[in-house]
Amino acid sequence: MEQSTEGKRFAVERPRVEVYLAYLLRAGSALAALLIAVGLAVLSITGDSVGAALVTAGLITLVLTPVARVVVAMILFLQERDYTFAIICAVVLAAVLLGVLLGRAH
Amino acid sequence: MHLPFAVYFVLSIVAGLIGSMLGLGGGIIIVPMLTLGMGLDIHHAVAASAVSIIATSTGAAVAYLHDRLTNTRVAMLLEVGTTLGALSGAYAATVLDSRWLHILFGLLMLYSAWNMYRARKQELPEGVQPDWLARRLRLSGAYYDQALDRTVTYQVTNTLPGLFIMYLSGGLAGMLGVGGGVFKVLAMDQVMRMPIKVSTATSNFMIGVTAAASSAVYFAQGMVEPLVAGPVVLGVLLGAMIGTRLMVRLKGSQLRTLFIPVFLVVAAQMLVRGVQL
Repeated sequence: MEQSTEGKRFAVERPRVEVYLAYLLRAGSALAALLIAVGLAVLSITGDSVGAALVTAGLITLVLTPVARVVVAMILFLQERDYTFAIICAVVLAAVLLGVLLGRAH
Repeated sequence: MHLPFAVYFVLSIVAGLIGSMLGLGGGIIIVPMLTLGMGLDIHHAVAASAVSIIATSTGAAVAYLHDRLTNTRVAMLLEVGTTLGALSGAYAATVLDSRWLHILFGLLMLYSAWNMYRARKQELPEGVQPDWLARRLRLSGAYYDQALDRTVTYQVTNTLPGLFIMYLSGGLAGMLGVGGGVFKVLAMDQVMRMPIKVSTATSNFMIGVTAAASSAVYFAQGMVEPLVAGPVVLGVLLGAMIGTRLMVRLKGSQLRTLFIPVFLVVAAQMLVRGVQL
């Protein structure tokens, strides 16, 4: 995994799972920020309720991003036949969904 | 209408900056800011804070993954502990004495502050022997350290005790009124003996998942106020971008020093609450 080019920036290679997760998190946060910013701008200029709806859509995008991260990681681990970590992701996902269903905020 | 947006936004930049640098999420700053500073009631403030923790986590993760500081395998393993702990938290609240729990954890935080102080000059943990579980799950890692200008390889140990602490902290976080971030950093740094920068980045990565579960519940309860949470999220995302750039350039010893006052504040909060209960 590690290359011998010590001292060189990013000499450490990234596993495939992390590359994909970084894409996903970047896309999720960028989309959320865009929706919220446009929503707030619309709201400030026109005072229209469309603005509030856009902000809410952005917030929901943000909330779904970490959950999507667990799902995508699980799929990637399955593809790599790393079943231990696929199960770990499945347990986390189940616990999160169960927590939401039980209405348990902490 | 314009003024509160701007105030929420600017104050949240600071919260995102500190939260992302220390892997703590920033609820410690957002909640008092919204309640004491802006006069918001506690429920709406906690809901906005939960959403903002996702923003810190997600915003910072992009940078820390890029720098290989996040140990995603350790993160996902420990998430089993925090999420299952969170599920059993409500049960714990019914059987445990809240006063003594606050005092116990307050003392634990004091002890951690003392440990951090003693090890403040320590740049990287030395002589760490991986345990069987860390070896079996391939938890060791490597990253390029910008402050040291070299590649750091590290091992992970005490995996099961670490997982158990995550379970406890996940369960007690709601009861103690502190986010799990402090306990996550503590467990990885002091028990699993990971480098402090890796512990911080990995904690940052993890807090998004539990915060997402809480946020979904707050959304369903109608507690998330878009006009508050929206500008807070934008500010926190910007703060996290700045915070991560700063953190990767810090030395481990400098980062350790930053943790000491945070631990002391949390210790004081818990001890005061424990005595008052």
